Amino acid sequence: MEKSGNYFHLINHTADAAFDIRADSLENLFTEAAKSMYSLLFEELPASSSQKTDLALSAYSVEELLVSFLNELLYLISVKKRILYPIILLKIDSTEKSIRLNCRAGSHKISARKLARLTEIKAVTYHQLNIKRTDKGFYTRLVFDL
Amino acid sequence: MQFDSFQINLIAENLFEIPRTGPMLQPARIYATPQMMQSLLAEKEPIRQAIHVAQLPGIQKYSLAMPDIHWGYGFPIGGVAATDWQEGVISPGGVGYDINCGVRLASTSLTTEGVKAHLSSLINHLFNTVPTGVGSSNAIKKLSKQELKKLLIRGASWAIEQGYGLRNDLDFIEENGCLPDANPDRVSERALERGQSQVGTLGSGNHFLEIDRVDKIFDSRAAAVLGLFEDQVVVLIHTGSRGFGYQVCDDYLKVMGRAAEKYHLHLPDRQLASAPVQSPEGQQYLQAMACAANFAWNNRQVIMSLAEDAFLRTFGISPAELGFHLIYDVSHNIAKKETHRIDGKPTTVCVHRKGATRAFPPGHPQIPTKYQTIGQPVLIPGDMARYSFVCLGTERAMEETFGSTCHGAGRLLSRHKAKKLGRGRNLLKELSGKGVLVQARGMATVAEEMPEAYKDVADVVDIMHNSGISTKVARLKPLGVIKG
Repeated sequence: MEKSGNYFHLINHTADAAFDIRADSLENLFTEAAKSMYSLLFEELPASSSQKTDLALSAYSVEELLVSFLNELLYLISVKKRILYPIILLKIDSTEKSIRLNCRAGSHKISARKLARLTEIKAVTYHQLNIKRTDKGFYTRLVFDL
Repeated sequence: MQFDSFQINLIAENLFEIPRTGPMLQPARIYATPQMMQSLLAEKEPIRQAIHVAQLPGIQKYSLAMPDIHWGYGFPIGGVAATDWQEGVISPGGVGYDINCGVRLASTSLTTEGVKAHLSSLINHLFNTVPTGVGSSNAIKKLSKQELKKLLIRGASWAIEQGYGLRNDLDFIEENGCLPDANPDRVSERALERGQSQVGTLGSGNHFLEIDRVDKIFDSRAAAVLGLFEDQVVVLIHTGSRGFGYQVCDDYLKVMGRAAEKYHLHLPDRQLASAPVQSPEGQQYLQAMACAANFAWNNRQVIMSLAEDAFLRTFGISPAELGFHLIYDVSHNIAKKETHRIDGKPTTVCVHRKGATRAFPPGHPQIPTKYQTIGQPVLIPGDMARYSFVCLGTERAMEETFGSTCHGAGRLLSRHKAKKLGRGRNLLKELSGKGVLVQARGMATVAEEMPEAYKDVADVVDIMHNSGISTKVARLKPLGVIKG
């Protein structure tokens, strides 16, 4: 039986990495997805930070929004050497033409030395990505290209 | 045998076919031993993906999978699909994020005996010269966006003009190191930003720079033409288009997701998002992808030149004494306009190779004059302790696989399992005990890439050799490796 709550579960994938993600709301699904991605990179996540960053993204579909959100976090890590965590506030709303995300998160600097040692995630893929409503909230499969 | 509602037939030694069924537009063909096929049936996803690819509009003859097939995203890794250039689609999922990820082999005049005593120093020099790891940058001066755009248009000749290598090198790079349709106006600002400081960097994951020795020659005539001899020291480089390529792919997956809807394409997986080759979206992607391909050729060109410098510094010899020459550079993640015979007629197609290597035969106009009698070199890396192979393309590959063959060993263990297996072990010491010196930024990468995590590449290479698709010339054994 499906557990309630917010969680991600690593599933067996030989070449890349894949997770099943479940949450009670769409916002929490996005937060869990970010945590699943960070679990591939960091053994420990940073504590709260006095420095905050805001992100605003929009997309054509909720799946595209999730990929854009996670790829934005990856870009910030690999290019700007910053990890956005914890996610303090995440809001998703939709208009007729697009779906928008606003996020506020703690922002931490990563040293070039630490960055170079991370597992490389090339991108978040659309493979098997299909955000579904379930009895307990929301579910998606997420596959990362490593 | 049966897979869901699909029949799988063994149609030749180590070649299985799934006849066209349901939504498939063509049959799917998988090169594998019966034992490999049993594993694929248990795993399911790779076969499902080969069936999905057979549903791409305009696909010709078959959806193909090489014996290193494994679960990818959209296409299986090891997948090949040729779509009609006029009526078919182009799919970024058939190329992947690391556009023009590929392999380059350079020869030296040195032998193992001459290198052994200085190997540790050589690996140090290489590690300090070629940036490795996530976010690795600044191998060369950060490029202005204007200069980067010149690089994207000119391909590997840009690096040569900057002093990285010789003009002659271009003859030994697939497509002479330049896809002509590159248009930097089709590339996002973010992709340019990511590319500015990453030329000449190796990256992380399965990318590497290896010092190998030629361990065994299978075809002495071809080896002589390639300039390979037993016990020779050679350099093998595996990397791609870095963050620049990842960004191009990501940008165009969004475009293609919308295009698929616009053109009413019914695709079984979002990651197969496509557009007709001749549509504005299809053409724009091809122009952006060409930029990323040209970036990758520059990347490998600069890395090769930096490696040559490291050799010269280590051994204190002249370039003439070192004899550093590019043997060949192949791409294994790309889509290209090619002409193949279909139903007896030359047909222009868009060949997607996702984890597959071009393998053109002797006499083909697109291979170097020097190799006209032997065929195109195919470079197939294995894991960092066993071996890699140099093979040659054949006429059989043109008949059966759109001039394509395998690209590597394929993983046996997930990265997660490999890391678990590596816990508490001194992997660098183990590798050193096997005669391989490894330097890496992080031990996690060494664990993820440990030899046990990979299948034996010889099994994959032998299937293609015995099928006559690509034939073995030489086996290379690693002496030293640098990684992310």
